[in-house]
Amino acid sequence: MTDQLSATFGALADPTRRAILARLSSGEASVTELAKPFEMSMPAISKHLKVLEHAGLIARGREAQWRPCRIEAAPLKDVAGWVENYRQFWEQSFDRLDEYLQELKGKEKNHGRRKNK
Amino acid sequence: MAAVKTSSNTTVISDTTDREILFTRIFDAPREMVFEAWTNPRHLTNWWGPRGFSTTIHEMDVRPGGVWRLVMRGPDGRDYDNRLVFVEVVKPERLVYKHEAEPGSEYATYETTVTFAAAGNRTNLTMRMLFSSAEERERIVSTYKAIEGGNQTLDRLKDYLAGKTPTELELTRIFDAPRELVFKAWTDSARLKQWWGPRNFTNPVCEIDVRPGGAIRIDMRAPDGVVYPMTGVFQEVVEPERIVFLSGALNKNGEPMFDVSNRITFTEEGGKTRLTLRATVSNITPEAAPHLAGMNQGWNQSLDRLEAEVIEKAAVLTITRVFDAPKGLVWKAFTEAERLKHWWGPKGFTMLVCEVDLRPGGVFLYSMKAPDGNVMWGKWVYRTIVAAERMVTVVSFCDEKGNILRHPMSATWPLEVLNAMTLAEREGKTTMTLYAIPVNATAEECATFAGGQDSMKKGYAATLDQLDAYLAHLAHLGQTPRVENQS
Repeated sequence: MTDQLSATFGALADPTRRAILARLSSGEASVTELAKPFEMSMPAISKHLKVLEHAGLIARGREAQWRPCRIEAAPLKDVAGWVENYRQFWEQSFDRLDEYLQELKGKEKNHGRRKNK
Repeated sequence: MAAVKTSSNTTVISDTTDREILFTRIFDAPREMVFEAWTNPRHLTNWWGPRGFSTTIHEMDVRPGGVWRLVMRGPDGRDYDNRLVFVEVVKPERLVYKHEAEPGSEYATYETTVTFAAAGNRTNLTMRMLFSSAEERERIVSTYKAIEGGNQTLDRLKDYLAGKTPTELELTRIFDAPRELVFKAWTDSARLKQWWGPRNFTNPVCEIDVRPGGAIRIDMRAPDGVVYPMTGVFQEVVEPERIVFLSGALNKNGEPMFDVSNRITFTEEGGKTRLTLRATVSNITPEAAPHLAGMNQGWNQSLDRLEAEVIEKAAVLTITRVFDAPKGLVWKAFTEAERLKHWWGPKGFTMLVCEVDLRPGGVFLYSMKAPDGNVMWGKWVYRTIVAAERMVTVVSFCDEKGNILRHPMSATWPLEVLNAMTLAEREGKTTMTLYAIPVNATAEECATFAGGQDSMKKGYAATLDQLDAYLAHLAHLGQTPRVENQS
């Protein structure tokens, strides 16, 4: 499971691959179609697709000759879930930081002095 | 040998001429640079020792009381171990260090004082070796040819400063990003422009034709407005493994100051990328000296910026917040234990332990008590720290000793998360941007996983043990456990 998880996150740590997933979220596409917007060679795009496939984020059709790529929702859902949790983790802390900074600034004013940056 | 001079009408506390060796030299370089060449191991290994000797520095802590250990290998293959201790360090004026011989060893214990006096753009250097007695001096002079050796060493320094010795630089960095992404940051001019050069430099011109024989032209602009042009040519481009290029730095008149052969290799290591940079400098002109003295630092700053660029692109999560406070204050809130206590963690949690060791490799270790009484531990390991500007940390759950723990119940929570935080101030307000990338699965962890069943079973048992921690954690996230998932 650990292995799969790191493969998933590793695959997502590349903007081109995230863009490929974004494209696939609106429907199946062939390798040629996917390569178009990226100004990339076919071998380069194939490499990215292999990484995504290995991570379980996409699946490639076997039936048709053009082997369409489609998105696999489950692992992405997990990632989205984590991202949301992690965001909340920080946002809550930052809410507190915001309050704390105001408190500090207030204190400084009361003491009638300004601290150096 | 000089006789001991004593005089009744002058107050000479001690006259040491009979037990010292004095060298004086004039170097055609500013004293800051000569001092740097004497105190930076990277420079020192290029010239230290008599002709034919090579030197390896094992330790060099340039401050009073700091230890300096080096081994000199003679042309005959014999090794000479040296252990020295710094007594005085006054940058860039004076160095005093003691050679400490082990009791009973044939080496001598003596003290060396090196003074660097500025004479315009040149340096008057004095090196004075002071022995415990005239006999000891004599012994070292005859046994080790100390005077000849000292002169040869200073000759080599002179050559080195004049740029006659090719210098080499090797740096290694690991980036938490796929190899293609790091490679692209070098080969896409729009990306290269973002990070090339030391801190606060910009690149008004950045043209690269990435193929063997393709030309390179980059104009680096320093914060003070001075432009440093560079031209070059690619020799090898093997995507995404290797780039080799020749480059030359030009002076104001467009004449080359030195040539560099650069070899950049990108190796994949468990999802991360190891970058190795090897730069060999040749054809050095005297005016290049200050540029070369700063080369190591410049490259390190450049790689810091590359790291920022790569993290920004690789981030799966970005959070931006504006705080109504100057960035100095926000930085303090992020880096001082007393202040972190006030805000790190969700509402209702209390910080119990909060220890901050703010330095690269240092750890911020904390424990928190949830409203329901459960205690959880976590840590940040500092990677990069640029005061009031930038901080890169690796965040994880852990035990009280700092051993990393997996999120007890969530298989989709990465073991470690890399966070890069940047601060920018405008009109008294601070914009903070946080980029996050999961960086879990170390090499050992993969090995454990490959180990199979046993470790899986252990993992499961550990999971049950940590159920409490998990519940605390869900509360920490402000979530209620979803019961339907557990049935």
